[in-house]
Amino acid sequence: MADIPPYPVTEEGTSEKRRPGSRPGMPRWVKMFSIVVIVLVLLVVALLLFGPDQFGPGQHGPGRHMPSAQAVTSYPIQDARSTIGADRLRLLV
Amino acid sequence: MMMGPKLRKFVLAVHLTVSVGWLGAVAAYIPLDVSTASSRDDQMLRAAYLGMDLIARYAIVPLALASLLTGLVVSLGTKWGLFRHYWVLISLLLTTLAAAVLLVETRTIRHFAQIAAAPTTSGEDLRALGSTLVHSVGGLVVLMVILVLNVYKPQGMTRYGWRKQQQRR
Repeated sequence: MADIPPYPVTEEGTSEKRRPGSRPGMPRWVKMFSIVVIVLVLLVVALLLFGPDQFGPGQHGPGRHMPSAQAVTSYPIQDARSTIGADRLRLLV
Repeated sequence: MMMGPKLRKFVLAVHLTVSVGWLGAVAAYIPLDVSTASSRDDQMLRAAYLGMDLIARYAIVPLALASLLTGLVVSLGTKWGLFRHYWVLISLLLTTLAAAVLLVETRTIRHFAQIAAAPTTSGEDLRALGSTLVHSVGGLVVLMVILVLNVYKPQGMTRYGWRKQQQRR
């Protein structure tokens, strides 16, 4: 990265003709980028407010993934050495 | 305060390392995230949630914060500045947004990992947890946009940058 911009500051990329010495307007790419961002934000907000249940109100946050209230069965976590992965390793050796 | 050339290059090297590292850590996280969305194997799901938590806490978050910090240092220590050029300003906003969403999402990831680590969690409960795919893929896209902006540096000075430039003349 250079100390100064490598490009001359011109009105290139803007949609306006300007007088010499006057401030260049916002570049076209910034305008397009802003429009895309605004559209995406509106889309996300709409999904959160009106979307399917998984995106709906109150469904955003860690609480949405609480396990069901059903009685859970005991699920012993096996030793890592006896997992499927270890078995596959033995087969490869 | 402007940095000398050696210090500038060093800080830039650090910034590039942590920024690309952040992108790489997210790329490593996504396959685990995909497996939580597609796998029905309980062992795989447990391992994936635990792995996601480790990657997020010990790789993605530190790299994200380091990227934001070093980006600020590089911008403020050179004539690019923080608010003078649109590509710098937009990169800063996107990086801040990505880091903020990441910090919030780590709570969800940690929560998933705690449930997955609990021996009493059933396979059905594991499969009901879901994935963070929207956030991880969305984050990757944002990081790619930032990368493109930083490589191509499209033209355009802000009003503030223009005023500063006129003052120097």
